[in-house]
Amino acid sequence: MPQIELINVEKRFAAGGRSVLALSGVNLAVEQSSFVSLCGPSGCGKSTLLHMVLGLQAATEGEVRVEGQKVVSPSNRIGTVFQDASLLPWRSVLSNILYPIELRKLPVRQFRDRAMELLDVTGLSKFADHYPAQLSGGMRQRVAICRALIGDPDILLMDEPFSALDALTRDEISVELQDIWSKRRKTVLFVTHSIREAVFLSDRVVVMGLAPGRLVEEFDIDIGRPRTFAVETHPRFNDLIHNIRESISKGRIPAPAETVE
Amino acid sequence: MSGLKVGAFDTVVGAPLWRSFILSPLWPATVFAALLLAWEFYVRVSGVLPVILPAPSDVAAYMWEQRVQLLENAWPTLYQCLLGFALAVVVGVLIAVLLTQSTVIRRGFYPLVVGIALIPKVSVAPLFTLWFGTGAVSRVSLVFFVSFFPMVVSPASGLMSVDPSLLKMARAFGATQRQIFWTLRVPTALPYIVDGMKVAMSLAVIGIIVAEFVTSDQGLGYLIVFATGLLNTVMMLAAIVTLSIIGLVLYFAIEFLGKAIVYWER
Repeated sequence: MPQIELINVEKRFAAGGRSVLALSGVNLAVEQSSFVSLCGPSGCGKSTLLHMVLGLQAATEGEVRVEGQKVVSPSNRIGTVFQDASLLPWRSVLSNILYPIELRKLPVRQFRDRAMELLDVTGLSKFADHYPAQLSGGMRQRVAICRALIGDPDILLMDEPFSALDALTRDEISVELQDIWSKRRKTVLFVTHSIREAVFLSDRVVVMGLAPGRLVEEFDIDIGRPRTFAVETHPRFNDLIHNIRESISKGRIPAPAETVE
Repeated sequence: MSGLKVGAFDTVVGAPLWRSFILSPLWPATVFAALLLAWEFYVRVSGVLPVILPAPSDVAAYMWEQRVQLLENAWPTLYQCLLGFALAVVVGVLIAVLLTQSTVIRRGFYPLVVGIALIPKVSVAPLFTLWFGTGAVSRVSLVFFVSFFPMVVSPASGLMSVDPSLLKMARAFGATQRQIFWTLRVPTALPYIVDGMKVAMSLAVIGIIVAEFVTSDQGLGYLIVFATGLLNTVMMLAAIVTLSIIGLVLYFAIEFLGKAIVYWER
């Protein structure tokens, strides 16, 4: 049984009195412990898809299942990292990481060691008592990753988590994420605009297209792990990037079926 | 080359000593002292009547001589002002919470509150005398009424301006409405509450003085009216200076409180 499953999912929004088809005919299965990226142009419904898996939005048609059960509301088996770190400015780093524990009304004290351990993994142990305003963008996003992992979720959803970071920080944090993933084996669903990032990190890259938002093509990334930046010289790596880019171009052409956008 | 620099950061040029003086609080203090001296000088030289404009030295001397009388009159002004202000803060914040809890209440009442906030409220002072008599109740009510509206408008807009990305994050982690209120809305509103308190504080001081103008037998506002009757301009200015000092101290007390509460914005 796949850990995340979307079956014939369709999503419509009401906008200005009209119904807009945001996603149509989406079928996707993400196996346990795999790293899957969604890649596509702006407006293809990547984030909408993620929100449906999270339980923040409901599908208009079809069904979204996590661990075989229909998603109706946010679940604590899922940890999420958003585009901006979304840290509470009035809380210290440690307190931000423990925020989900507090929301779940679990004993916060018992999770302190775990939070410190996660900070250690991301190299931020010294900053436990700092406030978000005192951190760089990369550090803030690392804190957000720690926060997503604090409840030891089975699934990690990441919505363009590195897009606000500079290119060098982005590379650095990608390698760290791969490290964390290979040690903890979470199922990761990763939304990104960066083809290179998607190929570097994923087991599978799903290309999405526009008008309406839909899945266009899937690519298995058959490159061994652990990956270092040396893979960039790998001909297979560059072939994949090229093929995915072509596929994204194809996805920009509206689908022949009914389109209301 | 160094004398030709242009731009906001380089306008203070010259020797390091002069530069550090200009950037220190000593410089505005010197300007203030110079203005006082100019006033003193003008009064002495021009021979203007003391009933029109007394010298600052005379005002200072009078304040020292009459310190007991001034303090005795400062006390009712201060406590009635603070009482009305405190009521405005507590009731205002509670109303703000109520307004932001329900769309029905908000859509019905919020525009009304914003509208009334724009009316010059000291104009109702005589009406309050009619309703509440000539005692402290009447004055505290006016202070409350005058400083209440910014204590609704500002906290209410704070409670409603939570960063949408924080809301999304909290919902993704399963936060309930109640948890969102306590962990996101309230902390977001705190700086707005402090801002509202600053406005309300200065309005409260205006409120108590107007109230004392209208009806009182003690207080700094009473003293000002009383001094006018006697054509005692020195006494009037002494009361005004005492009042200004109270206003400044209260304002900076809130400023200080704000920095302590909103520690993360430092």
